[in-house]
Amino acid sequence: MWGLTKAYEGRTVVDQVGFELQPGTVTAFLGPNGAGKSTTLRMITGLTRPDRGQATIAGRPFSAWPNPSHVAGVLLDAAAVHPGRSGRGHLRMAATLAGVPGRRADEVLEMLGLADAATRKIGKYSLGMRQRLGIAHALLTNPPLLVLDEPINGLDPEGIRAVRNLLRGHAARGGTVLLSSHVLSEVDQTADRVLVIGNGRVVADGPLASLTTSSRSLVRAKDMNRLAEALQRGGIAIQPAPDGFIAAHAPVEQVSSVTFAAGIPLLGLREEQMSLEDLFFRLTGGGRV
Amino acid sequence: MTIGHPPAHPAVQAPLVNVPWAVRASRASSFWRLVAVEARKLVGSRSDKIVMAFAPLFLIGVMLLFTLPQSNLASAGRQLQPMLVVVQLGLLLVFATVIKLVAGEWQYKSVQPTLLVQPSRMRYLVAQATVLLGVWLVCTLFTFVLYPVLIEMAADGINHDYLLGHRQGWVLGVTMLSTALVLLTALIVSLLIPNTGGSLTVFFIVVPLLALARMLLPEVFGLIYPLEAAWHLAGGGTGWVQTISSLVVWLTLLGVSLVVLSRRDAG
Repeated sequence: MWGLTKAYEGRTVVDQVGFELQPGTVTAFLGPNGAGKSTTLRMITGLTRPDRGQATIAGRPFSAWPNPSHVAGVLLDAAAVHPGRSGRGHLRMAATLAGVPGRRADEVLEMLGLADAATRKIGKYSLGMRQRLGIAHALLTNPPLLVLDEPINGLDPEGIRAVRNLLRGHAARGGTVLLSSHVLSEVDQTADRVLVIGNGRVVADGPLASLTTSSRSLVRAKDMNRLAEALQRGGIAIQPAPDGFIAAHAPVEQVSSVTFAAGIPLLGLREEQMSLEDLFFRLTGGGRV
Repeated sequence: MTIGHPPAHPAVQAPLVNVPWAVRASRASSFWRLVAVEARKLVGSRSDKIVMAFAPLFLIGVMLLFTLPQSNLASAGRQLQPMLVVVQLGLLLVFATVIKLVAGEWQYKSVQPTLLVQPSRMRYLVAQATVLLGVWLVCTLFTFVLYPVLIEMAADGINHDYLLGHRQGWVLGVTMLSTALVLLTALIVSLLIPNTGGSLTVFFIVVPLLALARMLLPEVFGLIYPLEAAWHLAGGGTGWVQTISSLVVWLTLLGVSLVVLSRRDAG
């Protein structure tokens, strides 16, 4: 997709958003509330018409595929189900529409742990159960791409682990997953790649490891005063860091050279890794609560 | 890795066509499958099933109520016109289910999973319209078969001749038109008010109030009364002006509701 732009009442909520997804990967779409995540996902799936730009899946816009549920399984809003219908009834209707056998509805209900609640009214489902029903709906046709908006919202730890395994399994079989989430620790464990969106624009896009790698090094020695002096003499700015380390504003190689030349035996030297949370807040301009 | 804003340029990729999922995705579901799903939604919940099961009994009850106590059935018009009240009141349960189907889909956003499986709103609407067409045919047939029997019994009971036997085309025409107009009103209300409670309230209060107001001031309220054309055909109309005005008003509302539907946010 490229250049996706959408404005509501003169306010641009998605601004020139573009990215490509690769098979076999899980991509997390991160951003604070109102950043434009859901609008972007709705534009990808044809529910909202972009003002500019286009999103294609396997070469065509989602809604240009005659039977798009075989291209992408989508969960945008777990609450978007009729509360008077049963889980099985809801999925069987979708199966009929998509042209897959009705028994597939029971298979995905079983897969998501909803077999016992299959005949219960959806109105009686908990938020987590509705979430699992939405994921079951997305998996109905076993599509190559899954687009899931906040899929683990409301799930208990066991449910989160099950969904994480399911998504990783989908990617391992060559599928593609795009999920949005606020639960940063969950994304940390699931995604290969992170897209960060803030104020409607993609502000970071890359593999998780490279995004969270900082340009600073963490270094520790027996004689911390000597270490600090040596680093400053070498022109490296320093700051105190947790756990008795000094944060040196230089790559590991440079810090190593300076300390070796000064004859300081080191107890530890490594690249600083930013937590995903730090990265998220730094890029989106948010603050910790 | 990209930090910051990615370039806004189109990626060039030809659509995939040969992989199995692409083959399946390239074949649209049959239209009748969509119709079947919409028909299933009509009785998708337990309350829908109960309401639909009671609908024929309710219709028969209303027919009995408005045919047997008649004291003057001396003309064909007098024998046919009670049917217009029967259609408006006796089919209320059916119309309630129709309103729940159309408005409920938007209220609960359950239209969203449907549009994600088959994205064409026009196809979706035509499928719903096809279901409504079926409902209309069943209601028309049921009324057309049963009403003359009861009104004949009522006429016999007060020693009046049964006058509709040789006018079956006229009876069928009025039955079809009146049922269609009430069903259309229910559809328009449920399209314009995407909330089951709101739609049902408007349909069950505003439409009967219009009927009452038309009885009191036919020249004025006949202009907007949805069944004016059916009354005209049944020989109880106010005049051509009211008939044409009523048709224009409700067809315009239908057009507006379709435009609203095509632009409504499904997310």
